[in-house]
Formats: sequence, structure tokens, C-alpha cells
Amino acid sequence: MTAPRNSDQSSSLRKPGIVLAMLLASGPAMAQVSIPIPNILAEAETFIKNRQPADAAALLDRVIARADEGEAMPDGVDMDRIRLTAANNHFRAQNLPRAAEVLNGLLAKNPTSTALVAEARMLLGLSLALQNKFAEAIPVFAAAEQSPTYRDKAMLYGAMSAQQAGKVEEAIAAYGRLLATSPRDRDWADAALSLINLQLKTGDLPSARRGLSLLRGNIPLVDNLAGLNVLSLQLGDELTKANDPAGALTAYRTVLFKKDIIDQQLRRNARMEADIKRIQDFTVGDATQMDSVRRINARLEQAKAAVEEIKKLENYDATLLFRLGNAFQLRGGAWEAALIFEEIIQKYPEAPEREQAYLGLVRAYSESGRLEKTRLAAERFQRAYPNSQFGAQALYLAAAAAGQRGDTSAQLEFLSIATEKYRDNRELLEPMLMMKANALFSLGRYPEVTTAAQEYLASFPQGKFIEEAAYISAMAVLAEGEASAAAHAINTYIESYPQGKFIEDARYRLAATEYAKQNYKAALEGTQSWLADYPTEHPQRGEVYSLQGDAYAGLNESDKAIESYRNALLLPLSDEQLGYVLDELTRLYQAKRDFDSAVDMWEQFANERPDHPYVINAAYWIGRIRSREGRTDEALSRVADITARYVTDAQRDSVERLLIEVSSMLAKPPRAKRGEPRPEPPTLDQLFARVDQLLLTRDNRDSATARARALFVKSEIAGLRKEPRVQAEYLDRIASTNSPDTLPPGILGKLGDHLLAKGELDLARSFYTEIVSAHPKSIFADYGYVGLGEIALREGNGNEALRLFNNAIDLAGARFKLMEATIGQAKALLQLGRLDAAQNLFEQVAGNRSWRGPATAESLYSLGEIQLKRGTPDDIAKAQAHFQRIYISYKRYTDWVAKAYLRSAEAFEKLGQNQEAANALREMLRDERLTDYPETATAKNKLISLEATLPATPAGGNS
Amino acid sequence: MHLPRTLAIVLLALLGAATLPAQSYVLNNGTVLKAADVKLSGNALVQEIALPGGGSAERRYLLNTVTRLDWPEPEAIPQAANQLAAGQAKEALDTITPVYRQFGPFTKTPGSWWTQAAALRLQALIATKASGAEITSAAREIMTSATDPEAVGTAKLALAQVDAREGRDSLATAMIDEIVSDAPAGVRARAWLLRGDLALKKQAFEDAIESYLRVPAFFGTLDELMPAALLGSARAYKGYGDASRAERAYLDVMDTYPDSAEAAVAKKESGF
Repeated sequence: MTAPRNSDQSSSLRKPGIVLAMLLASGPAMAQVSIPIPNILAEAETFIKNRQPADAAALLDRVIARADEGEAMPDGVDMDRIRLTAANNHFRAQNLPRAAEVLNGLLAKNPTSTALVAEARMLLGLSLALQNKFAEAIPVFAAAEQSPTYRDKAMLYGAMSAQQAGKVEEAIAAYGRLLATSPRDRDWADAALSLINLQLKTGDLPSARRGLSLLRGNIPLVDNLAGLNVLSLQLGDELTKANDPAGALTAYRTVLFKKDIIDQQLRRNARMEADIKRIQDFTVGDATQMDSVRRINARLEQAKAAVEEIKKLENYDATLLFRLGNAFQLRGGAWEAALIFEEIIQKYPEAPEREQAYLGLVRAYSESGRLEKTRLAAERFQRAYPNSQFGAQALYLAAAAAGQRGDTSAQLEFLSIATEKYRDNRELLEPMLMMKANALFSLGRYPEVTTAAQEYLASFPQGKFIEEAAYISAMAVLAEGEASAAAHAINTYIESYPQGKFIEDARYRLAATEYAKQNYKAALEGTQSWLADYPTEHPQRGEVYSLQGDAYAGLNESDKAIESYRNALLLPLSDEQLGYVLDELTRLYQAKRDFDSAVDMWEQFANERPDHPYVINAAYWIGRIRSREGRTDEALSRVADITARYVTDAQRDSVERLLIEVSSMLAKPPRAKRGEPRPEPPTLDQLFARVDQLLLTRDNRDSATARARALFVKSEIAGLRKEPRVQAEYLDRIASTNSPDTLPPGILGKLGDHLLAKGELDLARSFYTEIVSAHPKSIFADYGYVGLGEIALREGNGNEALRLFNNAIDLAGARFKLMEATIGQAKALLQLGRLDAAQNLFEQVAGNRSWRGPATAESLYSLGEIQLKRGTPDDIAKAQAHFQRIYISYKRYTDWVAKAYLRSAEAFEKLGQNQEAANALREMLRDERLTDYPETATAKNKLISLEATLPATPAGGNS
Repeated sequence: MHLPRTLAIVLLALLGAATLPAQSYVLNNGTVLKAADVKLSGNALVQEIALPGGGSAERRYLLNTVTRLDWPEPEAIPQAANQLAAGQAKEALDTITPVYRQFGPFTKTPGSWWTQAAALRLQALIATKASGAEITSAAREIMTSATDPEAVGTAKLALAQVDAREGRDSLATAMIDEIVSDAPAGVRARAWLLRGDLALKKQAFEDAIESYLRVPAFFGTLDELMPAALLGSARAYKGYGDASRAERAYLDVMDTYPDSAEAAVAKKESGF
């Protein structure tokens, strides 16, 4: 400030507002009084400092007006800068039209300072945008992008203006440019949110998805988390609709749960408030900063409103979880979906989504192959929502899952409930009735198949499956062995559906009915016409040739039968049919005493199909036929020869079956020759030397697997020769010298059982686990599942045990361990307190003649335990009967006998029959075999306390 | 001429007023002591005062009168966190230990960085496979001194990890049960991973699968835990007998997190 001034002016200027107001308000009479420009500028600066932008702007306007009127400005006064400052203050005073007017005037003068031009453009753009003149603002911001200083802000405001002006494509392009080049800060994140919003609106889901992934990696920059949540939910929903579950999942996974979103948003809100205060405190503020404050404020208000909204939403988390669960389900994540639906069911009992979550849960368990859980979920659903509109669907899914796992009983159970309860759901009733007929067929309940098929036909006379219903009905009659009735039903089918989908099968089955009626000629004609009518590549052709062979055999035309069977052998056959044909041919060749042809056939089979499981049969028949011819050594060497081919390959699990054959042949005592004394059987050492000679060659003796297999044969021989100590020693040697991954599954199974019996649970577990993880398709896989199930049972983990025993049957086919798996299932069910189901299985085991032995005793004992748990006098009496049956009929199994006596006494006591209880205990104590059992000590004590309750007996009385 | 001053104001506004935060102790009577002016001695802050005419005296401020620290985040904290993330646990331990000690007298004082330093130190001890006793002691110290639920949860998890490492599975499981019921999300997710590991060790494959998969199911925003969760689930699926899901989980680790250590393991285990 250099201009002189008098003292009055000086004192007046101490109150600038008053003086300037007087000056500015002065009329023409005072026009000749002209305040020096520097004084006005000084005054304006004071106003600026005092945050009085309107006053400052008014003063600066005066300067501009005087300059425009041609007044010369003092040296150093930069009119461009004055105009810009004036505009800035108009802007701050919200006088946006005037700000724009001043700026347009400034820019029209083409100022030389690029920095000033850039600032002016930014301010002009903002002034226009805030007057909602977005279309006019767009080119101004585009021009401002040339400034490195304002580039990012200009792009952001340009994009926002374009968005406001409804120029979506332009806005997307501007946001895209901004995000690609500007630094990643909170404005960047805000811009990304806006861009995703636009992309969602225009249906550009892939871009929105990419944008969201990018933001996910920069979450700390996002101020408006609530906004991100909303967009993520919208995107997830859109992607679900667009059948992109993976994308939907990515979107939903960025959404936070209620507590987290509120906590985090409140923290961000506090940060935004602090930012606003910081900007306001520390700066006088230019237009862009003012706009920053305005935008942060807007974000803050939005976020606060969103938080309030979220707080009000009681089902926020349940809704989010439901979406997540569905997305996982659609993407094949059945396990994750099950966890999520369980969470909804457990934690949100009032949520509307809960009912559908149950349906999702049933589906998720079903799709993850967990049948037991599927069943339980379906039951829980029924209990929780007995009238749910989704009930039928859940049961249908559960039934389908059970069917896929081969658990036809469970499948039928679900279908029976569903078809009873949801008869009005015609859409599902139709496939369910048909599924029920199929399930009944699989269970061999043939009369019921016909009933179910008739029920279907009556309910859906024009249904989708009427042909299937007619045919399965005919097949059920055939399966029942009613050949004539079946022939009639099949003929009816053929007449109704001459071009039907089962016509080839129907004609074959018709021929089979003739064979069953011993009309071999008619059967033969049937097969001949079938073979003539259908192409050579028909998949059933081998089966038809096999039937033709049967027909010829029935007609005693052996050579023709052999020819037909051999034709069948050249065609695709199921393993079961293949085994049948090979066995029939063997039988026919033997009948003809054509042993060489039989052996040649098996040799050829073993050579051509070295991996087939029937190579075992080949070895068996070759050995047997040659033995019968008196060529035992040749037989043994041939079987060993086949065995040695695969002895080093741990993956070939069928070798173990051959090893067992070899063991059996070696262990058998030599036959006496006629008229000569029976020769001494070879010693174990001699046999073991023979094993090494037969199995270990120069080429394979270094193989750990081959050596383990030789040890295994020795242990088997020791077992057959009743040398359990030696047998155990050899098994221990295999276990201690081989890691599980070098051993074949058959040996792993045997070792696991051996170690389990010794109580070495952890070691046993490692062998069993190797079977199920490395050899899940092995014929010995059931050893693994049953062994692990047994361990789980001992550890009190009934659910896991049940799953493993189920797997032994459902996944592994329980080729060797069906009895153990079944009894294991029963024990697991008992441990889980599911008494009815356990009882059912124990009864099956106890009633199975071929399993008669310790399993029967154990099952009877467990049946007694179940009845005791039920506890009514009637049940206790039944329990008593079970226990008695053990010590009467299964005396050999002393460990069960000891337990049974004790429980029997308990049962008598509960029935108030103390005398009988005492009698049972006395009988037990008389059995010397039980002396060392711990139950005996218990029995002695119990007897003492019982006798105290009994009336005194005369000497020599009941003792 | 005053115009340049106006411009200067605008420019100042543009730049903002950046000042370095001080390192100071705030006492209960409002006194602010600059850290540079005092030194820590026993249970007090000691300020040396120059006496007029030469010589000096000491003024002592008891530590229990310090109500707040005004202290910027020590650089060692993000540095140690980065070192941990990069697998340089030993270096992280060396970096963070001085900070942990520096703030030791102020474990519960607002503005103190002790909790953060102690939590990082604990993680570094676990990663360097320090002795169980050392980890347990560090964890218990946090549990008794810190109020931050995240730090307390991490300490509990460390105890569970030590128990698991030393074969005390049932103790580890009990602690995990406590963590998953009330800890903050990040700790809960890591507890589920540990639970998966324990179940896998016991070959309780179904339990293991469910534990690992809780991480992607319920903690989808915690990307850093996904590789471990997916790898664990692949192993558990394999044990469970679901080869196709195991394969998919292995591929998921390799495709989605190709630079993670777990991806290399997945590649080796799956043979892809």
C-alpha cells in the first residue's frame, strides 16, 4: 500500500465496512470523489481475510468497472488476477451468475498466464455446474483438463457434470480417463463408485465387476462404504440375473455385515468430519476446495443417512447371507452354501429368508453328497415349516440326492412323505411318482412298482412318463418271475409303443420270458429276429447273443451255445454279463472235457485284458483246471506268473486277491498219493522260501512293494496254518518297514485291521487314510472307510462314523466289509440315539444267516441295549430275551456272553425278578471260561447285593 | 503492493497447513511435556532444568500422572507389518521390539502405540517359531494389558496356536471355541483356519472342510486369508474322498492367488 491518505481517511479506514459502504452508496453528487485503487484493493483484501467474500467481491467489481471504463490502473495491478479474485469471491458468496459473468469476461480477454486461465476455467465450470448448467460446464472442464494442476479435478467435475446432464457415455468415458491416470485417493474411490453406478445403469456388468474388484483392493480409500455396499448388492443381483454366479459372489463378498458396516462407516464419518473441519480451519478456501468440502459433506450426509437406514433394517444380515448362500450354491459351492444357510436358520429365527434357507440347506447338503445331513435337514424343515410351499421341493431334492447316492430306502422314505403330503403340487408330484416307482424297482419291491406305476397313470393319464410307467410295470412283473404275465405286459407295451424308446429292450426281454418258460425254441427265434433287425453296433447285442447261447444250451446244442457265447465275448458287455458268459463257457468246455480250450480262453482273457478284475478269475480257473488235471505245480506257477506281472505296482489292487489264492494253494497240505502215506506238510520256512521263489525275481526284488507283498503272502500262510504269532510278526514287519504310500490298498487294509486290533489307533488311522485318500476307487476302499469309522466310533464321533460307514457301502461298494459296515452304521446310530434306525440295522445283521457269528452276538446284545434304553416293562422283557439268546445260542463268543449275563441280570432286576437275576449271575459265575473277564468281578458284587434282598433259601436249595 | 499477498493466501490455502505432530506426554493437570525434553527413569519422566546462575536440577513427573500421549505412529509399526507380510519375521521382530519396549510403561494410556507393537511382536514370535513359553508370555501380557478386542483376540489365538503346536488339541479347541464366539472378524477367521488345521490333523475331514470354508463363506472381504483357506479345503476334500472338489480348490488357489506361497504348495500337491 503506497498511496498517501489523510488522517480522516486513515481513521475511517480503521472501520472499513462503514467507510466503504458510505463510498459505494454515494450518489452522483459525490462522483468526483474517487478512492484510489490501491485503497480499494487493500480494503478488499481485509474483507477476504475477514471472510466477507460478498463485500470483497463488490469492491473488486468497482475496480473492474473502473478499469473497463478506461481508467488507468496503478503499476503492478494485474487486472486478470483482480477479475479472478473477484470471481472467486462471488463464487464464495454464492453469487454464481456474477462469478460466471466475470470469468467469461476474463477468458474472453485471452490472458497469457496459463495457470490463471486454468484456475479461471475450473471456477467457471464449477459456477456453471452449481447453477445446474451442466451441459455448458462440460466443455469448460474439458478445457481445464489441459492444466496439469487441475487435470484430475477437471476430469472429475467434467464426469460429474456429464452424469448430471444425462450424458452417460460421456460421463463414463471421463470417469474412465480419470481412474486410469489420477492418483488413488478418496476422490478416486468416489469416482470409481460413480462409474460403477453408471455402468450398472447401462448394463455394462463386466466393467462394473472389474471396477468393483479394483475398489475391493482399495477399501481404505472408500469414504462411502454404505454406498459401496448398496452398489455391490445391486451388482450381485444383476449378475445373478445374468447367470454369472461367480461374478455375483465376488460382488456380494465385498458387502459387509451390519455391525461391521455401521462400525466402519461411523469411523469414516468421523474422519470426513475431521477433514471438513481441517479444510475450513486452515484455509481461506478457493473454489475447488470449497467444492471438496461440499462434496465431502454430501458424501457424509449420504453415509449418515445410509447408516440410519441400515440400522433400521432388521433383516439386513439375513438378506445378505441368503444372497451369498444362493450365489455359492449356483457356483457349485454347496459346502459353503450349507454353512451359510445353517447360519441363517440358527441365528435369524424371525427372518423371512429362513424358510427358503431351509430349502437351500437341503439342496446344499444334497449337492455336497451328504445324505444323512440332507435327510436331517429335510426333517428339520418339515418340523419348522410343516406347511411350507417349498416342502415338496425339499423332499424331492432329498429324494434325488438319496437316489444318486444309491440309498434307495431313504429315497423312498422322502418320496412317500412328499407324495402323501403334497398331492396338490402337481408339478412335482408327477416326477416324484415316477421316481418312487423306480426306487421301488431298485429295492426289489416289485408288486409295489406296479401299484406306483398305476397310480402315476391314473393321476397323469397324459403325463410325460406314461410310457416309462407302462414299461417299468411290465419289468416289475418280469422281475417277479411271472414269465407269462410279463410276456403279456411286454406284448401290451410293444403294441402300444411300436416305436417306443424301450422297444429293443422289450423284444429282448420277451425272448427272455420264453427262455424262462423253457420255450427255448421261441427264445432262440426271438434272439435271432432281434439280431437280424438291429444294427451290429447296438449296445445290447452282446447281451442278446448271451441269451441266444442260453437258448442253445437249453436245447443241448453245446457247440452252437459256445459259438453264441464267444460272439457275445466279442461285443461290449457289462462286467456282470461278462463274468456270466465266461463262466458258462468254462462250464461247457469242462462238460466237453475240453480243458485246453477253457484254459486258452482264460489265458487269452488275461493277456488281452490284463487290468480287468476277472484276471483273478482267470488265475483261479487256470489253477483249478490244471490242478484237476493233476498239474498242481504248473497251476501254482501259472498263477504266480500272472501275479508276478503286477507285483511291483501298488496301484493294482487286484493283485492281493491273487496273493490270497497263492497263499491258499501253498498252505494246503499235500494230497496223499493212492497207496502211499500222506506226505509231511512243508514247514513254514520251506513255504516262505517258495513264496520268495515264486514272487520275487531278479527284476522285482528291489521293489519295496514286491517285498511287502511277499511278506503279506507269508503272513497269510501263517494265518492259514494257524500260526497267529507268526502272522502278526509278519504284519508288524510290513508296517514298520514300509511307509503307507508304498503299499497297495489290500495290504493297507489288512495292516489297518491288525493295528486297530492291537489298539494302535493313530497308526491304524494313517493306513486307513492312505486307502481312502490315495485309492478311493480300489476294491479294498471299504477297509479304509470301515476302519476310520470304527476309530471315529471309539472317539465318540457318531456323526463322522456314520458318514464313513455309509461311504463304505455307498462309495466303496463294501465288497469285503459289508457286514462290518452295516454293524458300524447300526452302532453309530445307536451312539447318536437314533434307536429305531439302529434297531432296524441290528435286526438285519442278526437275521443274516451268512453273517452268523460274533456279529450276531453283538447285534443281539445291542438290540437288548436298545430295548433297555426304551425302558417300559415290555421293552425290558424283550431286552431280556435278547440277552438270554446270547448265552444260550452263542456261547462261543465269550466276551459277549459275559456282557449278556450281566445285562440279563440287570433286566431281571428292573422287572422285579431278583431271584431270576441272581440265577443268571450264578450261572455266569459257574462258567469257567468267563473267570478272567472284568464282568465276572462285577457279577460277584452284584450277586452279593442281590442275595441280600432274597428270602433265605434252605441248604442245598437254589444255588 | 498487496495483491501478491492475496495470492499468497490462496496458495497457502491450496497447499494446506502441514505441520509435524509433536511427540509429547500430556499430564493430568494439563501440562504437556515434549518427549525430547524428558527422559524415562524408573516410574517417572525426568526433566532437567537449568538453574539461573549455573547448575541444573531435575523435575520428576510420575508415570501415573500421564493421561495421554500425543505421538505420531512410529515408522517401525508399518515397517514391521510389511516385513511380516513379506515373510521376514526375524527382521520384523528386530524392528518392532524397541517400540514395544519404548511404550511398555504406557500399555493402557490413550495415544500409546504399545498394543499395536505388542501384537506385531507376538505375530513375529509365532512366525519365527519362538518357544511356546515365550509366545504364551507375550500373549498373556496382551490379554492382561490391552483393551483392543483385535489385539486380545490375536493373543488368545496365539495361545491356541501354541497348544495346537504342542499337541494339546483339546485346549486349543476350547480356546478356538471362545474366539469364534466373540472375537472381531479377522481373528475369528484365523481361528477357523486353525480349527481346520486341527481337524485335518485328526483326519476329521468333514469338520476340516467346514472350518476352512467358513472363511470364504463369512469373511469374504479378508482376501489375505483366502489362499490358506482354499489350500486347507483342498486337502480336506482330498481326505474326504471328493477328488473333483479337491482339484477345484487347488486350481482356485493357483488361479486366484498365483503369487501366494499356498499356490506353489497347491501346484506341488495337486500335480497340475
